[in-house]
Amino acid sequence: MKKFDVLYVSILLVGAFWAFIVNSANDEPIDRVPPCDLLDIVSQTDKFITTDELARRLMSDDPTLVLVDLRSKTEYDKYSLSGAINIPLENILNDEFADVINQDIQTVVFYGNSSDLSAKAWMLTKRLGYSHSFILLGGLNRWVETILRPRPLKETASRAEFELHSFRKAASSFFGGGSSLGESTSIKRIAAPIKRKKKSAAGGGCD
Amino acid sequence: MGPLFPLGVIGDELNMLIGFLIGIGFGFLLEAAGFTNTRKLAGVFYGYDFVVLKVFFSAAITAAIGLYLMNHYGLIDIDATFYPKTFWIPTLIGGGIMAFGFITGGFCPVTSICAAVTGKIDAMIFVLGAIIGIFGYAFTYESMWEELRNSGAMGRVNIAEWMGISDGLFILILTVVAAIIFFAVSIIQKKVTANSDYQL
Repeated sequence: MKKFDVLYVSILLVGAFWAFIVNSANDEPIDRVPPCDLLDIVSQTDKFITTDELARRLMSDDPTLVLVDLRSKTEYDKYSLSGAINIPLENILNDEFADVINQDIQTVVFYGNSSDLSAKAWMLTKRLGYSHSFILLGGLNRWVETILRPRPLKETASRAEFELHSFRKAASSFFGGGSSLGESTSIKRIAAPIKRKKKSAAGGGCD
Repeated sequence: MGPLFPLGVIGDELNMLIGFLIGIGFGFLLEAAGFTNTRKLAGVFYGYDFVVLKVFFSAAITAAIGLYLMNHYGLIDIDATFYPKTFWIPTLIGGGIMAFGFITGGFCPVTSICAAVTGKIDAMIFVLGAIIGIFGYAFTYESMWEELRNSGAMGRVNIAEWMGISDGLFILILTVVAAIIFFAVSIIQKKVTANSDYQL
C-alpha cells in the first residue's frame, strides 16, 4: 500500500471510531428498562396509592407529593385535586415534563377518572426507569366515592371501618365534599326507627 | 439543515445546477483517474489492479461516516434522505448481471458513459446495449418481471438494524474489514503483477 492509501485508511478508521463512540454515548439516555426487569416491576404490588392515603398526605401538606392530572385540559379545569399539574396522557413523554415526572425523592401520583389513564402513564414512565411513580387506585371516581361522599356504614361494621369512616368524613369536610350533611340525615333516618323498636321490645320484656 | 432539496432550503433550479456541477466533477475525475479504461475495471477480477474496488469501497465508507456524524451533529436529517426498500432476490440477480457486465464489458454504467464521450466505440456499444436493456425491461415489466421484481421484499431495512447491532458499530466493523481487504488486495496485486506483464 502506498503512503497516501495508509493515511486515508487511518483517517477512515479514526472517523469510524468517532462514529462508534458517538453512537454508544448516544445510546445511554434512551436506556430503557429491560423486559425481564420490567416484568418484575409490573408484578409488584406497591404501585398503587389509595384515596385514603392520598387524602391523609394532602391534609398533612406533604411537600413530597406531586399530583399529575392525566385528563384533558377541559376536564382538569372543571375539577381537579388541589395542587395537581395537568399533563394529558399524550404529552406524558414530552421532554418539558421529564423533570416533573422523573423524581428521586418526590412521590409522583398519576390520576384520571379511573385507574385506566394512570396505569398507562405508570407503565410508560416505569419503562423509562422513573422510580417514584404511583397510580391513584380508582382515580377520581374512587376519590369522590370514598373521600368526598363517603357512604354510610352499617352498624355491624368493625371498629377499624368506623375509624376509617370518621377519617373520611373529616376529609370530606376538609376537601369541601359537602356530603356530610346528607349522610348524617341518612344515619338519623336509619337510627330513629331502630331505637323505637328497641324501646317497644324493652317495654314488652318488662310487662 | 440538510438535505438541502427535500427540506426546501434550495429550489428546483439551484438543485439542478448543483447536480449538474457535481456531475461534471464526477465525470472529470473518473476520466482523470483512468476509470474509463476497461482494463482498470477488469483488473479487479484478474487481480492486477484493485483501484476501482478501493475507490468505491472507501467512497461508501466515507459517505457512511460523514452522513452518520453529520446526522449526529444536526447538519443533516438522515430520515429525509432517499432510502429505497430492499428486495433481496432481484438485488442478488441484478448484482450478478452487473458483475458479468463488468468483467465482459469492462465498464460500469457510469464509466461507460464517460468512456463513450471520450470516443471509445466499445463504450458506445455498451451504452446502446444498456439503453436497449432499459427499454426492453420497461416494455416487458408487467408481463415478465413484475413477480421477480417484488420477490424477497424486506421493506425499508437498515443492514445494521437487520443484524441487530448499532449503526456506529456497523460502520466501525465495515471500516476495519475494508482496511484488512485493502491490505490483502495490495499483496495480491503485488504478486500478480510480479508474475506477469499486464499493462494498462
